Amino acid sequence: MKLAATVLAAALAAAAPNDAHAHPLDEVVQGSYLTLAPGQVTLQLDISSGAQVADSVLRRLDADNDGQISSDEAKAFGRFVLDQTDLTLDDRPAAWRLERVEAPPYQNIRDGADTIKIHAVARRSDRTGFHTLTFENRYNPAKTQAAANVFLRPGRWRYHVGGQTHGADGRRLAVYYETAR
Amino acid sequence: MRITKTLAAALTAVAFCGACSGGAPSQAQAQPVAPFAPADAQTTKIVGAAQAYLASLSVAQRTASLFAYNDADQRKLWSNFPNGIVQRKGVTWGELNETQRARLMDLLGAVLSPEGVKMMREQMDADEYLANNPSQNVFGGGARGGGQPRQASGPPPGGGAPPGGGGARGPLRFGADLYYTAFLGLPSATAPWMLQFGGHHLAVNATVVGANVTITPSLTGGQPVKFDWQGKPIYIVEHEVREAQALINSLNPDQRGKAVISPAAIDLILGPGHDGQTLQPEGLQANAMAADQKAKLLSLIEARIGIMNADDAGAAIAKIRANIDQTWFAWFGPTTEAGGAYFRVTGPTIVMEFSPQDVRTGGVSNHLHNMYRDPTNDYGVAWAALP
Repeated sequence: MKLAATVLAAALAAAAPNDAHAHPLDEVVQGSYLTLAPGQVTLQLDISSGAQVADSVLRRLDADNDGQISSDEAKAFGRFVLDQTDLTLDDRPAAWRLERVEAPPYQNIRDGADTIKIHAVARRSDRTGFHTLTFENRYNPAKTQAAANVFLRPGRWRYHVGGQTHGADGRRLAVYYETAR
Repeated sequence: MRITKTLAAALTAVAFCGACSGGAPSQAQAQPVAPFAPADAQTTKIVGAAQAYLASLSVAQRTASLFAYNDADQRKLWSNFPNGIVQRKGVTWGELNETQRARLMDLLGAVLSPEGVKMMREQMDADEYLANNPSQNVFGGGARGGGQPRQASGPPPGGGAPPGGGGARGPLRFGADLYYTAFLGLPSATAPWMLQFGGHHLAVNATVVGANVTITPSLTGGQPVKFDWQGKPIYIVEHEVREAQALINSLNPDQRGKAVISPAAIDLILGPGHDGQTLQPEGLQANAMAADQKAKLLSLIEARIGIMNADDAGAAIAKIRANIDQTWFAWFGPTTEAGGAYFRVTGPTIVMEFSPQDVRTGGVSNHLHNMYRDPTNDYGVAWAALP
């Protein structure tokens, strides 16, 4: 008889190399991973551009057009993209703080074979009761396929997601949730 | 961390020493979360087949095949991407002689079901099709990957930049020869270990812990999924597509209104690189389904998990069945054409995604990225904690 599983999966936070998982040639695929965690909401925004539209991303990312992505260029790109997102918490605008940007080699992006990852965090109240979160990603360098989804990392709090609504184009997400100790 | 040639030889010697089997060094072992059930007949069969396969390899091939159980980089080295974009490690199908291939098929036949082995071979055929028809792949090019004898030292035939460092990619390569086999830890009835088999659009990550076996996370799908090969029509996911369409067709308008999140398909959410993320369920909860609809949902789940051997698939499905009322079904895309929409099953011990590519506005995709995860037990972490 097989042993019953009883333990939650350990977090394996570090992303694998080259883990982009979509490769349409003519679209920029953007996946927004919003995680409710104690006192904060985190964002991982994955941007995977197809080879035919990679220039639309690289023009901004490789600002000096030298075929290299510097740390400063990556951060500036991250801030630029975050500026085109809207986050509200309990109907009030909230600001992202950029944590880091994972930028793969220029040529990988150029070939449509890798993913840029923007990591950001926003402070959030953990008062018990009902809350709302809305998110919209307006970054639109080319034809885009977008999705936004919510994840939980509860720690000492308990979160219950009572509802989610997605915009038809995948750019908007509204989450209704309850927190309790 | 690659096990050195010397260590690999030592490990192999230990592994094939009848009196001392299971004595792998501590670096290759994980700590059990709790005492686990001793190996059953299925695990014994899998371990025996794995040891027979390893015994058939040359020393150089074994060295290239074996990694420490705690090798986090190798554990995550799977992808839907073809070789060149991703530089996998292990020993390729193309490097194996006929005897070695037969041993590997015995091993895969022990881990997987006959349907799973068929799917795996069809995936390899599909990549061979892409190698023969380079204009058909989404990159519009690429070369055939060939099998080459492995030298005692040197890089694997995949070549190119090593993984883990974010290096630039190598040349695109396609073909059945480029499916890799690797082991994390040594095959054992008493210590955790893992078999990886995969390539373009395929990743079987089988973790074995005593009597327990899981294949989560697993990536399936393929391109093309519907094609003619050697005079025979192939449709890799036909069973699953049929079950999904039967379920969506069975829903009444109110149920469908909850299940269908969007008229447009979306991409994979929990693909490679997204380990350990707990996705919130959405769509239609099974507690709002009639008994025959729940049965259809289970049939859909079984179509995916049924790639695993019956014994271990049965254990996984039993847990899912026990939690069926806490399981959700979500659909993104049109409901009119089978195989043309993204769908997801989310439950306490399952996240199952079906993601057609390039069909946001309709049509049937010939290119799929599909995932099967267990949020409580990817890589067997419920049985043996990862270091």
